[in-house]
Amino acid sequence: MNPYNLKNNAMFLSCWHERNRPVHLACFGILIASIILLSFLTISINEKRPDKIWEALFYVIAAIQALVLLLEAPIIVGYLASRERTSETLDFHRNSPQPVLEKIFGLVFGGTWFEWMVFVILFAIELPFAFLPKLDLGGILLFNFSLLLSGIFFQTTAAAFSLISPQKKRGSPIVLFFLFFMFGWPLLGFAFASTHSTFFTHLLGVTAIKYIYQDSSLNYNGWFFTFQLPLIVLQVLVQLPLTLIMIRALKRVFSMPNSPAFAKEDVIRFCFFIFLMLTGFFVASYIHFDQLADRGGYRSYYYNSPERLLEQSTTTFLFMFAVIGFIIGFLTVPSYFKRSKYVILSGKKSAKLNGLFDDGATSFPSILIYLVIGALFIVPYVVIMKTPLIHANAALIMLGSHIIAFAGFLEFFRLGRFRGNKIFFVTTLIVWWVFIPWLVAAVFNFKFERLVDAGSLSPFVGFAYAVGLLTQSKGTLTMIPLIAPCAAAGAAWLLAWQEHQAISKRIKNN
Amino acid sequence: MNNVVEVSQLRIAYDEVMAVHDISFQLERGKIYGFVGPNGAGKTSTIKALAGVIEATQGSIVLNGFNLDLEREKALRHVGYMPDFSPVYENLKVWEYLDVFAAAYDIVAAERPAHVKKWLEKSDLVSKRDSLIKGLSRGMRQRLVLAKTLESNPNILLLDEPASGLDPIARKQMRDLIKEAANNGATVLISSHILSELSEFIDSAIILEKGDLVVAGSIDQIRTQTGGGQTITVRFSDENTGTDVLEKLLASEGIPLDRVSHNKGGYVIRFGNTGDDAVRFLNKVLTSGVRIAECSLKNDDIEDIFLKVGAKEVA
Repeated sequence: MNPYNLKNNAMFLSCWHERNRPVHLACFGILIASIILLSFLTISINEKRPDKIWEALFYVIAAIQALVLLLEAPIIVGYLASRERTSETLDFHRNSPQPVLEKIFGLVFGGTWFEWMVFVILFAIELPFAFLPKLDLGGILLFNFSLLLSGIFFQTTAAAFSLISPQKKRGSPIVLFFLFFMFGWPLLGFAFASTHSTFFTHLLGVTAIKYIYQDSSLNYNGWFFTFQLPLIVLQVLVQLPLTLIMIRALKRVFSMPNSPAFAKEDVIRFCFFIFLMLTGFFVASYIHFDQLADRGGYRSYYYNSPERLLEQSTTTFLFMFAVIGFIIGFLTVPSYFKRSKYVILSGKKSAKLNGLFDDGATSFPSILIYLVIGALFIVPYVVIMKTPLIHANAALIMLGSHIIAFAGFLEFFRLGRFRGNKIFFVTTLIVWWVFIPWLVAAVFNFKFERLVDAGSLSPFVGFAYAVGLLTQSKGTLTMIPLIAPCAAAGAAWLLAWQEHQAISKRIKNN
Repeated sequence: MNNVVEVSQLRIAYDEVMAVHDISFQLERGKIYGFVGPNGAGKTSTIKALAGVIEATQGSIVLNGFNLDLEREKALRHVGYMPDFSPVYENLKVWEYLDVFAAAYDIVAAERPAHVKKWLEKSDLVSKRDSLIKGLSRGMRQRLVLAKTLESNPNILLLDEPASGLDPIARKQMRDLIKEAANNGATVLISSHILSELSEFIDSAIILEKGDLVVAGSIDQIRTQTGGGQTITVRFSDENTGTDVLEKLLASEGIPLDRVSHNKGGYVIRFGNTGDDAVRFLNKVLTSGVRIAECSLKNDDIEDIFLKVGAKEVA
């Protein structure tokens, strides 16, 4: 899959014969031209000032450009990558001596040449609009550069997720991208109205709007911790490391067929990076709250007071901490194959193992490192909110215990005799997280003061309680919500440890 | 370095099932090896591990002097792999498919058109040059994938059931192509269920059963190791006279009657080794004066050996 010469790229050739026939291309071109023309006519009916008409038309072209590059292209890449996996042509590329980076870039960009061409052509069409009073050349260039960065990030992510999908059937990342845009949509409003930028506006590439929509006198700058940096730099800071992690995952897909796509080191780096970014943008938002709320004329319900910002940001951080914690479990718990291999190789002196971060090593150290990273980055929130240390510690211990318990149970499940039985896994989780807490609460007649205690086995209740502790909206600290998850974590790891012993014994007997 | 493939203590496990259990073998340059075993013996797993398509649980694989785990790209540089069914890009033209992989194996652009033409001819797909692959029959796809595998001129060829889905003519073409590759110095490891076909052109064999290596080596070595031997088939013009003479000769040579069977009016006499015993006995039969309608001396082929070592499911 040659990324430089498309004639030798199977993705390009497949698309060329499949969906990029001259007739298709002509139809697509006519469709875009028609949308632009109809938009022009519609705008002309309501708007008589020529500069406003052209300005509105520019936004239509920019929107088409963004949709083609950020929605259509990743969906195509995801589809082609998933077809590569299910048809097993991927094996030929695993087996070919072509440098792995060439294979990756060939796969990611080979099938979307047409979308990139549309992007470039629309960029050329946009340039004359720089003469309009509200637009300027710098803004248009930055807008396009921002789209280009997001396009690379989205397409690489789509390829990675499609190739690592465990499903045997060919899937499509359309659902993923609908989710992506569902969450991104509210951020669009934020990006339009506020001069501020956040981790998520950069992650989803919606910062691009600022370059063409907002007054260029604002210099397109943003804040990160106490630093003022150009928005484009912030976008690079957010998207580039994630793109690199995806490329490393793709590299492993090609060269380590039975290994998890994400190496444990990369998962840890990913977490560190996400929390660094979240915290950096939070601190910047807090310090520059005036600009966030006023300068762009943005009057959000959420950000109408610093207290609201604190509450919102803390909830987001804890939500990310909990969700990523569970994802970490999925990514770092070894498979039965990898664990067996690890146990066999650990007995050999010449074996090459990656220590705690080996694919077959237990997930426990990685989870602990994750918790330490989370604890480190929660410090600014605790300091700014003046949360009592004991409350902050309790919140962390409780959420951490839930994460450890889940990882332990998952390790038990993947290494144990029920590993092929997903129904067992899901049923146990439902009983553990929903049914037992509900039953206990029922026993106590659902009295409010007992609900937290009763529900503390469930991470859903635990999360709400941790947020309450941190934001001090629930001041009372009781022991049961701490003890119950810790007990669950201990029990889960005891089960996992038993499975480790069973595997070692089995391999010894072989 | 005469061994181009060195496999040591290779173990491949899927969950608790041990597909391949600590096997070791070497493949010498320029030889054709049959990879034989019943379903589930671990042939496909071993070939996939050699091709770098799956990871081994343990053990080392050295291809052309490079360890597959440590120097993957160098190890796979000259390896051609053909899986047991043909993954293809349905929407590529036949010539494009060959061209894409020729480029992946660094065949320079100027030489590629002639190169592709040559392989289209060899695989008898010239008339399908500009057809989309999705329109090809299964046999044509097999030939195309074989051509793709051979076109980079690999010095290690890993072929997993390459003949499945091919008609007799295409099978002969495939055999010729593989022989040609071996004559050019390639080492070929070919797995097949059609043992009679393999026996026509392999030099050596590796027999697997339930993940264990039963025996490996040249056909003669295996024949000796497994106590394999030779078979004389003889049919007399006058069966009564012939039978009397044969009985006397068997008695004088001390050959037990349980080695003799009667089949379609003739006799089949088995010899448990590859020495001169069979030739000497046949000479005696020929010089005994009795009129012979038909006779032959045959070494045990791979199918006989395979049946002998106990893996009877295939045949």
